[in-house]
Formats: sequence, C-alpha cells, structure tokens
Amino acid sequence: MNKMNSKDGIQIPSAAHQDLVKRMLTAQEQTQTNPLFQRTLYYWAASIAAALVTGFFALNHLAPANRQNIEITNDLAWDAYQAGVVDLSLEDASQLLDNESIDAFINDLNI
Amino acid sequence: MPDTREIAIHEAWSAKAYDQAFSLLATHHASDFYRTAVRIVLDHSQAQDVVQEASIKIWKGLPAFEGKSKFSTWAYRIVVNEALAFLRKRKVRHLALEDLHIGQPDSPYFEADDVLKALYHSLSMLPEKQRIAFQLRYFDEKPYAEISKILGTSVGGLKANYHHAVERIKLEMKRLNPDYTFDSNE
Repeated sequence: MNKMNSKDGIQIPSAAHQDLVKRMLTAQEQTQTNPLFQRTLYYWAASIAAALVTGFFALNHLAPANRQNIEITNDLAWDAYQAGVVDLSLEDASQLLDNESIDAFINDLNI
Repeated sequence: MPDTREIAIHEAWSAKAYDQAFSLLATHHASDFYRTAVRIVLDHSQAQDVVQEASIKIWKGLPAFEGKSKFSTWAYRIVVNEALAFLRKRKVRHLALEDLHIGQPDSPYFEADDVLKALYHSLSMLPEKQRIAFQLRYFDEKPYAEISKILGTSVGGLKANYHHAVERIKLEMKRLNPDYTFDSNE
C-alpha cells in the first residue's frame, strides 16, 4: 500500500495512511453537494437569466424615443420574468434571487 | 508487468464510476501524495492541506481526464503543482545554510540519519526544478518519462536537471563532510 522503508526517511504507518485516505475521501465528498439539486437550480437560473436579458433588449429596442432611466429592482425583474416579458442571464439570475426565493421557487415547481 | 492498480482505476473511470476510481486512487496513493507534498512544503499540516486541496482538484478533473498519462502520474502532477503553490504563498524559496535541520520535512513520520539529513540540507540549496526532479527520481525511483509528465518538462531537460542536481548535491555534501563517498551511478 505504501512504502514502509523509504529512501526519503518518511515512514508512514498504516493508520496514518488510512487517515490520509480518509482526508482525500472527505475532501471529495464535500465537493459533492447534491448534484441533482445543483443541476435543477442551474436550469431554472439559466432560464430566468435568459428572460431578463431578452426583456432589457426588447424594452430598449421598442421604445428608443421614450427611453428613460428606470431603476430595475430585483422584485421588478422577478415580476417581469413571471409575466413572461423578460429573459435573464445566468449571472443576473443568480444575483437576483436570494436563497429563500430559490428554495420557495423550486418548492412551488414540485420537482 | 501490468500495473493492476492503474488498470483497476482505469476500469472504474471508463465505466464512469468516478467515485470508485477516486476511492482507488486515494487508497493506493494517499501516502505517496503526502510524501511528495511534505518533501516540497516541509511541513506536516501543510502537506495534509496540500493533499486535501489536490484531492478536490483530482476529483473535479476526473471526468475530464484525457488519458494521456497514467492516472497516478496525472494526480502526482496536481499534487506537485498544489505543493508548489503552497510554497510560493509562503514565499519560502531557499533555506538557511547554518542549520542542518532546515530543509528536512517537519513531519512525525520523518526519521533520518546524518547522511540523509545532509542530503536534505544539500537539496535545499537547489533550484526548485532540480530539487523536485531529484526527489522524484532518487527518492521515488520514478522513470524519467513519468517525471517529465509530472513536471511538464522534456525528458532531455529533466535529465540535465537531475544530473546538475546530483553534482551540486555531491559538492555540498563533500563540503559538509569530506568523508562522504558516492556510488558512481548516483
């Protein structure tokens, strides 16, 4: 399993080897946080992001003469998405939604 | 002789059983990864951290592994790079000449006689590439082709590094103790 008589003077006992194996496996497990949940989240976040971006472009394109500076709040963007008039990028969506909103949204979807 | 460990890891990986492939890699090589890490960072707890950080990178990279080398070679490369990154963060490049203990791994698993202590001290005088090339070749007895993949250097350059390292180590050890003798092939 491991060199007990090494030229480098490092003699790793069996128990220490097992501890190192455990450390590696623990590190691996900690990176595996529910991949199904992550994939579901990414799917919906990507959809929302695409909707928001599309909405911004559509608004700018349709009313150039009447363009005004409008502050787009998270709530406003969310309402626009739910009404089906905006598209969102992944990054925009991830900033738009807080954890509670994401949880509630996914629960409502009954996935 | 076929490397049965490597074959088992490869079979698991081919079946997309990445958990199993990683578990086999850890079971077979955890100590060797630690050994490599602690010889570079010279600190027990930092070497453990290196192995841990490298594990995350190995795990994440496993599905995208291209099969251009053995799994263990690829994983060694990640461990060496991670250890060097730790070392650079610490900004420790060269160690003091005065103290023979400096340059040796500070690890509960390390034991050395005077000759090995002198060797570690001499190693600490070397540039990074020569030092790691020497360690992988002399301590781990890895073939040049594998070391070249781990370090991302040509075999020719690696051989040059190794031989420069050996010459400098001999000089330094002779300086420490003129009675030291060396095998002609070392």
